[in-house]
Amino acid sequence: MVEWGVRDRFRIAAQTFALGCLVLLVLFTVYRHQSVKPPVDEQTVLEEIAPGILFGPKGGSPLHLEGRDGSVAFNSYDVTPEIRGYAGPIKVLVRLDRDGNISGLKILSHRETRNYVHRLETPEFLRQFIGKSVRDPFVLDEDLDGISRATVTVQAVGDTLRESGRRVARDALGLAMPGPGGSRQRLAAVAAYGTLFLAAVVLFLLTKRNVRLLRFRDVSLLASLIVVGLWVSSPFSILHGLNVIMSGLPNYPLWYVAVAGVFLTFLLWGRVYCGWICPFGALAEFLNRLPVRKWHVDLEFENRWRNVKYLFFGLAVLSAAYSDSAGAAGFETYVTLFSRNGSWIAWSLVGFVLVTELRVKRFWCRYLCPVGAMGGLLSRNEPGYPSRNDCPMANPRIPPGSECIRCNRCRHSPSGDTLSEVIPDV
Amino acid sequence: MFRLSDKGWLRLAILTGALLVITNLVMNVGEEYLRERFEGMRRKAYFENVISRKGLSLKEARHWRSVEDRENQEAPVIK
Repeated sequence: MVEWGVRDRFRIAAQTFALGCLVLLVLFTVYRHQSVKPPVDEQTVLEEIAPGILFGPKGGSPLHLEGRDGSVAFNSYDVTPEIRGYAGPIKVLVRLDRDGNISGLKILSHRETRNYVHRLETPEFLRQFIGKSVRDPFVLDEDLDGISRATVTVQAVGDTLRESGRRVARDALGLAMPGPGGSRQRLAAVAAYGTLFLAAVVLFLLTKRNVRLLRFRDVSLLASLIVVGLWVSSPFSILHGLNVIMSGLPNYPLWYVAVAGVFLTFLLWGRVYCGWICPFGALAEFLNRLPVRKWHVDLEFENRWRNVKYLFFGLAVLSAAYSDSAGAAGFETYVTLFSRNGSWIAWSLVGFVLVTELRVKRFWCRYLCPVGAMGGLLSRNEPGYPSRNDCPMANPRIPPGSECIRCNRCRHSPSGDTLSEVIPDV
Repeated sequence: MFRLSDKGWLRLAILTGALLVITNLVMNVGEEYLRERFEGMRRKAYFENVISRKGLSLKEARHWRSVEDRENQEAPVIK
């Protein structure tokens, strides 16, 4: 009987290529961090947000520029460099009048994913801050209008303006200011995501021993689709991983649940995220249960074509390295679908993949998904997952750890009973 | 009639997906990197052909251009 792994040279070559691309990205990033970047011409931007007003040189603590009319201007990054969005700090040039109200602002730079923050720099979005006092709470959906599915970034802008504004108003304008603020919605999102993640992992661990709990896997997938996909809109993406390499660690708690948690599960138990938490995987699995005839292929085909995802992962990493922006690596269907934003070509990919999922079990996860590739690189082989006919990944016998999503179905199959001796349906 | 086996259909599906993924990546690189470069080249050409010929610095030119724009906006429309 032919088992998977006999012809694993394709997989080794593809995984080596993907790892090589990651090493290149690290080298590019180190090189770019060492080269000197030209400073942003803040005076020129000041002319836009405070036309006709002269400002003195930058100085004082915290760093700011004093205007002839009693207003002050500052680069938020000089004051609160520790506040970050998903992909590093969001640098804003802000002008405060002598009462601590924002009288002008412009976003100087950020590295957030464009799918989510395409409206961030528009005058319509920024206008809401004009006239606002830095004493205000700057809480999303309370006194701050968000951008749908970009809550983390918008709240990071709010936090940046509030905290940097209060420090400058207190120390440069001599105004009394309240203490630091927070966001209830953000806490709710973190709590929901964290609870769901933890419940899914606990359920995964329990179902390793108790077969009867396996029916709750569908509940976990449905909850993920609703919470991670539709509500929080933060499915794990390779952009999260690339941002760590290119921009460092953010200070947002959801990041640690969504990203650090996923990395940890990849390392400890393999692709548990794909099998229990990924909202797009859930959608693909539910779609595939519709009564449409499935396509059948042989092991050799699978052995070759499943490695394509490592090539795309590598290409995406190279795109990010070349452009010096993690956003350039974005082609993932779940980012487009759950952010509900993307180019026509990105939406074409989503539509095409969803239709194909009807015919092919987890088509995206098996052949194209870069997170699947990343998970595959980090997963180790674990005995006790021999696969069976109803494997959600349509894995043939004894799959490598990189192809198993740890649904735990085959762990409870008596040997030679439900185990497939033939290639299962795809 | 044109008929494909299941393997053929799946191969076609993967290749179509691959084409869409690569197009996506190329468009991303174009948007994130090349557009910035083209914009830089356009600005450089404007600076060399218009601003430096008038003997202005870039900052002065920007200032007078914004003043000009504001005046044009505020000017009453004469019918």
